[in-house]
Amino acid sequence: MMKVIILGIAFGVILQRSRVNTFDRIGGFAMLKDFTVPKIMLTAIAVSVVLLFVEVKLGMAGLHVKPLVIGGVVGGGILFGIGMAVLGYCPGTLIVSTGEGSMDALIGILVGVGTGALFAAMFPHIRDFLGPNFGKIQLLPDSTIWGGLTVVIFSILLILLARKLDSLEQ
Amino acid sequence: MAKKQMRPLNWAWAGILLGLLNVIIMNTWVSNRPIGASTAFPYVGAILAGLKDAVYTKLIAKPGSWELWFLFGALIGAFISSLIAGDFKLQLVPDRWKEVKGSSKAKRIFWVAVGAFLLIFGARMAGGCTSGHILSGFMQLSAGSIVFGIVVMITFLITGKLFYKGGKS
Repeated sequence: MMKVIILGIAFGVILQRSRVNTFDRIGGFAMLKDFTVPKIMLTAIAVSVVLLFVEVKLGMAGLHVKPLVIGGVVGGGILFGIGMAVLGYCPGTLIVSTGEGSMDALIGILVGVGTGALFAAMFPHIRDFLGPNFGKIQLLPDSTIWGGLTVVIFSILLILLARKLDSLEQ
Repeated sequence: MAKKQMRPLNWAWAGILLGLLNVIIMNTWVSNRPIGASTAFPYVGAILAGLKDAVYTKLIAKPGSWELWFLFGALIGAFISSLIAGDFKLQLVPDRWKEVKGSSKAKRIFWVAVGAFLLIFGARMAGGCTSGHILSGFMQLSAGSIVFGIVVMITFLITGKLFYKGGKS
C-alpha cells in the first residue's frame, strides 16, 4: 500500500508540475489553443511503448491488454470525449487538480463517485449492451525483430507528431 | 498576483517521466499492472452506496483499491508540489473558462456535473480512461484502447469546437 501511494505521489507531482492537469490546458486543448495535453501524452506513449517492449522481452513485465468490447469502447468513448471537453478534466486530473485547490474538480470527483455507484447498480442491466467482445487484441507482431521495428517506428511517428504540435503552438 | 510561481516542467520531460513511471509500475515486482484511475470512482461509490456485494463491485475490487491508493498519493503529491511551486489556489471557475463562458459559478457547477457524469459513465462502459486506455493501452498497442483513443479524440474536439465557440475573447 505504501508503495502504491509513493507511485501515486510521483504521478501527481509530474502532472501538477507540468500543469497538464489544469482546465486551462485540457479545456485549452478542446478550444485548440493549447497542445500541452497531446504533446505530453504522445511523448509518454513514445517512451513507454519501446521501454515496455524491452521489459516484456526480458521477462520483467507481463501484458495487461484490455479486451476490445466494441459497444463499450465506442459508446463509452463518445460519452467520455464529450464529458472531458465540457468538464476540462479526466478522471486522474480531477484528483490532481483538486490537490492544487481547483474546487470545480472536487465537485467533479463527488459527481464522478455518485456516477460510479449508479454504474455499479446498473451494471447487470447494461452489460449485454457493451458487447460484442473481440477479446484482448494486441497489434504487435510476435517476432522480436518485427515487433521491435513496429514499436520503434510507432514511437518515432508519435515524437514527430508531438514536435509538429509544438511548432504549431509557437 | 505577486506570488512567485515556479516555471512549469517542460512537456518533453513530463512525457518522458510519465512514460518511465508507467513502465516501472508495469514491472512484475512493482505493481504488475499499468497506470489507471477511473475504476477508483465506482469502487468508492459502490462502497458508500452499500453495494459492496454487487456483481460489478466484486469484479473491480482489486483494481479499484489499487487505484484508490494510487490517486490518494496523487492528491498528496499534487497538494505538496503545488504549495512548493506556488500554484496552489482555491478557485471554482478556471481562468480559461471565464474567458469563454463568463464567471458564473452556477453555470460552471452545472457543466461540471454534466461533464463528470458523462466522463465516469463513459469510462466505465469502456473499461478505462485517459490513463488506463490511452496511456497504458497505446503503450501495449492494444486494439481496444486505440479504438477508444480515436473515438475520444474525435468527440472531444468536436464538442470543444461546438461548446466553446463564440467566446468573449
